[in-house]
Amino acid sequence: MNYWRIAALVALRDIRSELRSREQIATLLFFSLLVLVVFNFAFDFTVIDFVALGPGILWVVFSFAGVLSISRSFQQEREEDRMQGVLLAPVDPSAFFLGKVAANTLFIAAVEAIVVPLSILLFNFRFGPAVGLVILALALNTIGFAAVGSLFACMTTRTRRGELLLPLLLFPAAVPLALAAVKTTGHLLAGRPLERVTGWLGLSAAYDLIFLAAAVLLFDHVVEE
Amino acid sequence: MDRTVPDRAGWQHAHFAAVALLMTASVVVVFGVVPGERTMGVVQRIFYFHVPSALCAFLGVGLCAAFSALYLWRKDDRWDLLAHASAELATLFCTIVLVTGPIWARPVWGVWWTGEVRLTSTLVLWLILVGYLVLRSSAENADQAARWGAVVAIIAALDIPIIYKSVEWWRGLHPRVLRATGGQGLDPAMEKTLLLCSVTFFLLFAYLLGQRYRLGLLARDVEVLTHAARRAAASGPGAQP
Amino acid sequence: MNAHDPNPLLALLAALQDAPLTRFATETAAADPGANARRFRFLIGAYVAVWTILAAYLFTLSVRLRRLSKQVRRLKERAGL
Repeated sequence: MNYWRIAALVALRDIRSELRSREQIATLLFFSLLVLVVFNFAFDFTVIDFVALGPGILWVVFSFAGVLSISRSFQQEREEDRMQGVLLAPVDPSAFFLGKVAANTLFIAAVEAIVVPLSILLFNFRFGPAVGLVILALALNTIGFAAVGSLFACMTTRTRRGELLLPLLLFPAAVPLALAAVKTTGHLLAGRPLERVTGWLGLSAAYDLIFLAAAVLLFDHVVEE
Repeated sequence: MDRTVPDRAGWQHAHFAAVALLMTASVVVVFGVVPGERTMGVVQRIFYFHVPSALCAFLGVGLCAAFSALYLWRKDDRWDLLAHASAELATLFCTIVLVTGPIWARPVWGVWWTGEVRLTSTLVLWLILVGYLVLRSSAENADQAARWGAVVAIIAALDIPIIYKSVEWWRGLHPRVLRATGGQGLDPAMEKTLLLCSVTFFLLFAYLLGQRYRLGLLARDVEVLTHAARRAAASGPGAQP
Repeated sequence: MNAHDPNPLLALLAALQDAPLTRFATETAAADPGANARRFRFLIGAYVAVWTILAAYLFTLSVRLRRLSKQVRRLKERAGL
């Protein structure tokens, strides 16, 4: 079977099961909203500038939601023991990996698309074209986050300390994405010229490419028994 | 399959003696010989151990990634033992950097943590290394630990330069490398002292790597021998009462 | 080295270089003397920390090495090698 077909099939399977149950997105949404509400109480936004703190808050929310989403995604595989079947197929197992990364990216991006406008409402900021750009920029960073996160999650969900290990490994590794996301979001919300943002977007894109490639190449070693 | 540890005790003792000698020389030079720095005073001398430690940490990370790649390619677990040892040493020296950095910062800038770009990135490096070690210890068996460790090590080695660069850009400053003579480059005496201390630390690193590798080999031997003994006992002939 | 010198180490350091003690003295004079004493304590603290960390690691390594060597020897004897 064709490599890309397998990847697409895996991604579509996850998406379809999610559309049916809507369980994961709902959980992620509510979790994200809760964290936002906590920040609403933690910082007094009538006094503090949303442009200064908002980007950081948003990335924290999506990092935590992302970790939840990715680890849940791989735990499901273990519970339903589906990985064995896929791995027995005469295709590169990394096709399976790409499918999972695609699905995870989509889920987290969907949550971002909903939570960003909500946060603007919650913190009394103004709407504008920047909002759409912010969501796109965050989605770009989410690709890299999901790639490295999925690679690590495939290992950590098979250990006892899994819930602790995934954030411990992923957050430091994703620092460049965090910086890029926060800086890009900040510049966009402040309405600064787009030249300020291109460097950071370049970093995100480069990170995504490098680590998608690396993860695909290394995935075999994670799953071989 | 005789994996006995080669008994090169003579060489090891000589190596250790050389390290001890160089270390003494380094301390003498750092405290007595090299001229002081004008603005920071005496505490600047921490630099001569702080920087070589950082170099050793990076060396450890690079070696770990290289050994890991070799392991994945060759599947010889001796490469994995070297990778694990390198990572442990990298963590050790990284800890030293993170301890000496704040001790230097406190009297000079009045704060323990300056948010300086290099130290911040080094903290992230330390976290990655700890994650590597914890992941290895959480694996089900040695083979899984080796493979997973190798994957993380390679990802980490790719990531670390990106992390350092992006933290630099984030701060928006030219890197505040703590130059000894106020930004005009290093005084030649200081340069030579730094070189001496670096050579000392590299030799120390090599010594510790050898010892840690030996430890890994012995641990493997114990496992192999225990397993063999158990098998022999289980399949023992009727001679067992 | 003068045998009557109360502190032979200082004499050795002085002999090693022109006037290392003067350099320390210059640093002391340049800044507030209290601060320099404090800085010296931090310097010593840093070096002690480095030594402690290295020594602790070396110590644990040698302990584990000895224990495992003994274990390997015992296992080999039992296996009749």
